[in-house]
Amino acid sequence: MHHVPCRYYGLVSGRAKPVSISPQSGAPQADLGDPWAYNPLVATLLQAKSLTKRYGATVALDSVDFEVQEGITGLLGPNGAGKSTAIKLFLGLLKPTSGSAEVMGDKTYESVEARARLGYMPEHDCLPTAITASEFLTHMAQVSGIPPAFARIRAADILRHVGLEEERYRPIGQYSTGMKQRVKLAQSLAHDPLVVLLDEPTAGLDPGGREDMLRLIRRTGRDFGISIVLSSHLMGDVETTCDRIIVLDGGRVTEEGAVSGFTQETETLLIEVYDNREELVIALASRGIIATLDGSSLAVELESQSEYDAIRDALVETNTRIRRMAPRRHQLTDIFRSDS
Amino acid sequence: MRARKAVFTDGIKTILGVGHGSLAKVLPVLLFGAAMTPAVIMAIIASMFEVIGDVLPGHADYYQVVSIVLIIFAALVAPELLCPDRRNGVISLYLVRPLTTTDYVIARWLAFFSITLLLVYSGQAVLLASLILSADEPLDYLKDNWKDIPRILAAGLLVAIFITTLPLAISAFTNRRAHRCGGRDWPVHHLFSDGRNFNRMRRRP
Repeated sequence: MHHVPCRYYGLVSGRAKPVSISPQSGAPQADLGDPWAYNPLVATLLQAKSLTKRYGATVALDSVDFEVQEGITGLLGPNGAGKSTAIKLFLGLLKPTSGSAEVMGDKTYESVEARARLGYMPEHDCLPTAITASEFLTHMAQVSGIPPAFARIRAADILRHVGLEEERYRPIGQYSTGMKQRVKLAQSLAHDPLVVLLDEPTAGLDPGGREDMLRLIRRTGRDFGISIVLSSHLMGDVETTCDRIIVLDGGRVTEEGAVSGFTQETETLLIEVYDNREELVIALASRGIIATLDGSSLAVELESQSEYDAIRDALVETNTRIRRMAPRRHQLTDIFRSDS
Repeated sequence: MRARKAVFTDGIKTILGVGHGSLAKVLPVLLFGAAMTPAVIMAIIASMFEVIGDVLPGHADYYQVVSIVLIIFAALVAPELLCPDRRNGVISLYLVRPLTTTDYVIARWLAFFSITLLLVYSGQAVLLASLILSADEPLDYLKDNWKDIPRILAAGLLVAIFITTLPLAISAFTNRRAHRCGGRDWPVHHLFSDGRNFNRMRRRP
């Protein structure tokens, strides 16, 4: 029996077993070798091997190697770093100058079927204005290989997931920017991909809309088990949303690892006080502790745990009211500060 | 296969205005009516007069009568199949799905070709049926003229291919409605609407 490469499942927590749809009956069939077939032993979803892309004399990506595993991965870097080029190479929209961009071992520019495992939310406008979100998502699901009857159900599920259930019968042209971004995200999820590549998903959104979009992305990644690659130049977006980051700059990978590794505690203690800051600095200095003013806080480089006792004594001596005392954490901005 | 079928079906819906609001359905209905009208008029006249062969135009002449309608139909429909996808950026979503550029173009072409062929054959079918039925001896008429049927089909096929391919090919080079009308159908506009669209577009920077 011919099995159509189409997997379908409702939006439930966790990843359902892939099924294929019989072309005759439209009923789900046992899964035998469809291109979505996901081997849980293969942790690497995307892999760049010596990936190079040149546009004439301009080198967009210079022999980069990195891997994307399950979870939410941030692709971070300034404009022109090569993020969008990397995404287009994985999607098969561009052919590498050398090296390879593989999706679970397949090269998407050679294997069209491999693209069915990917979802893509572009940065630029990509929505028709005249038709409704429901029509558009149903069509996109069908183009991805889902039978019409299932495509309609899938479209309704996804639009509910992104919070557009009430608006789904309005033409997309009447939507706000935030709603259009949600439709863009929804179309990328319409065919239940394994990995979704989001190119600057918060572009053009106000702070509230941005937070909503990031919350939606987190929910998509964590509740529904869809791995996400989030490309952004906004460190805040990546820091609050991603598990891992890959930092690109000038077409090269400069940093790579878990976000928690980049935001771990430092040896610097931040003491935030209500008053007597200058007196406290003097009292600490008399105890051999150098404190520097850091905004509204004092920053102390800790050398031993005994310095906590000295700080307590200095606070009591100067009768200073303390608001907060905690080790400083690294921020993703430090990556770029250290580079510069 | 399902992806190609979806793009083909969407093309058919776009041409017929299905799912695009009531206004979008007006144009295809008018054009379909305009293409059928000559055949219907010829059929009515054929049923009223007996001097069919000498006075009324035959199947070959029907294409000449409806060619203007077919050209206008192609001029208005072909860009709608390709340009909005590029103008709105939807094409980038198609090309990251299991669909090649060739698949997309073929599916769109087939949608346009199917409707055009239907339009061409419908008029000829009405004309043929009316000529047969209005003959004194319908069976004799059919026996005498049966060779016309493959000719009608072959000619219709060629007309549909020409009407479909050329406008789509030209539409592929632009994404603006007014531009492609001005550029591609300039001869038609120049003849029938003194070329105002073309002149307007020439001034566009």
